[in-house]
Amino acid sequence: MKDNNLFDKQLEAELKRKTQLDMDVKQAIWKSIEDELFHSITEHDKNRRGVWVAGISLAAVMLILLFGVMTETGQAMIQNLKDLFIEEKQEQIEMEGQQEELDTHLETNEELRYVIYLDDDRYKMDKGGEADRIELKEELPDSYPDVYMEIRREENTTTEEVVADIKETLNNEEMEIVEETRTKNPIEAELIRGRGSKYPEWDTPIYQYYVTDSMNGQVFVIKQAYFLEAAEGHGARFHYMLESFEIVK
Amino acid sequence: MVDKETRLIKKIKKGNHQAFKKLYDRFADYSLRTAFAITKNQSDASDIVQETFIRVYRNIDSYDMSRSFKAWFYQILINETRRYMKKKTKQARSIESDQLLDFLHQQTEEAYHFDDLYLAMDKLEENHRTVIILKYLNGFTEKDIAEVLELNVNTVKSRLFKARKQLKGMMGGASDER
Repeated sequence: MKDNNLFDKQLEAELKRKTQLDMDVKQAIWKSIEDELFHSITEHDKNRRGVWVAGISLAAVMLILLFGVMTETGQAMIQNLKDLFIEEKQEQIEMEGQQEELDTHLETNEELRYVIYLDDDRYKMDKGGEADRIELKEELPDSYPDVYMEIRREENTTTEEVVADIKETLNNEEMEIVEETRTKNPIEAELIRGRGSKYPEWDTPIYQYYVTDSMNGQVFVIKQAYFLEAAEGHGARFHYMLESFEIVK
Repeated sequence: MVDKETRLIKKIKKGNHQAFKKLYDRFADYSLRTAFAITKNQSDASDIVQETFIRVYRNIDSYDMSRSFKAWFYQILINETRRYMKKKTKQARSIESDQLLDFLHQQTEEAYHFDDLYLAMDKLEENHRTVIILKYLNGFTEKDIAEVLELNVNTVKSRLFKARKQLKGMMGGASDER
């Protein structure tokens, strides 16, 4: 038995000793992995764009092509962020106690530097306003309260200032603040939950805000708007989508 | 540790590259050692590890979070190693018989000759060599090994027993496994 233990120890030590490798090897492997996974498409795009731009100079058809260059450049910038993430993902979520497969699609905002996976069977992304807004694909009748998830970035501010503004807005809209807490789920942020004063009714509006920590004077605010009866449906789906939200430095 | 790993994997599933780099830093060393122990060739080991991590990243969505990540990772690594070695079969190095005789003649009564560990390991069947590496280099339990190789625990025990006996025999000790 003693002999077996000695053999085991020697074998373990010797295997570890004989398999020690140069740390540079590790770095070189990582570089190859990075190139393969994260840079290959970007490089390809760069080359493609280079050829295309050369073609444009040669043709010298001014105005239309100039517009074309600008569009291509804009697309390339957005593709840059898109290249960093998988385009489509299937998520397993739980809705009202039932497991459900959810097909999600990557949405990026190059300017605001964030990504989120969108359940594009039910929602669409409306960009370009003061905030990006995830809205229902099929609109609800007018008698229903608003349903959306809004993402915006506030600049030159702090989390505390933004939280104070939100609370003031909720007060002005006669919404009751029912929760104000620090949360880690679905994202790490300050959470403020407001509820319509007419509670509990099926259509009591609910506003749920997530305010991220300030980074270089920038704060992301995510507002989820739905109503009481939709809390288990749209509320839960917004929650799952927000889990995929990432700010990209 | 496991919680930290779970958080890391959730981030990778979201496509976070920094999290993937952290995972690489955590697993690269021992995966490289494992591939090197099996192939005895640094360049082959590098290729295998590179391909393993690429597969892990591309297939992370299929990883079931209720399973041990380490077992899932090493399953990919071992499969990749086997695939790679199969591809290189024609180039496989055979042990020179005089080399083998030399080291067998060097045996003394007391000590084991670990200088010839690789030579002895080479003589093991691939299945036996892999369980030895997973156990002694990676510190896997028999249950872990069974999960990685998708085997019954008793089969793992049996392979370990035979492999140790054979190794001890070749490395100068009495093969006194009981």
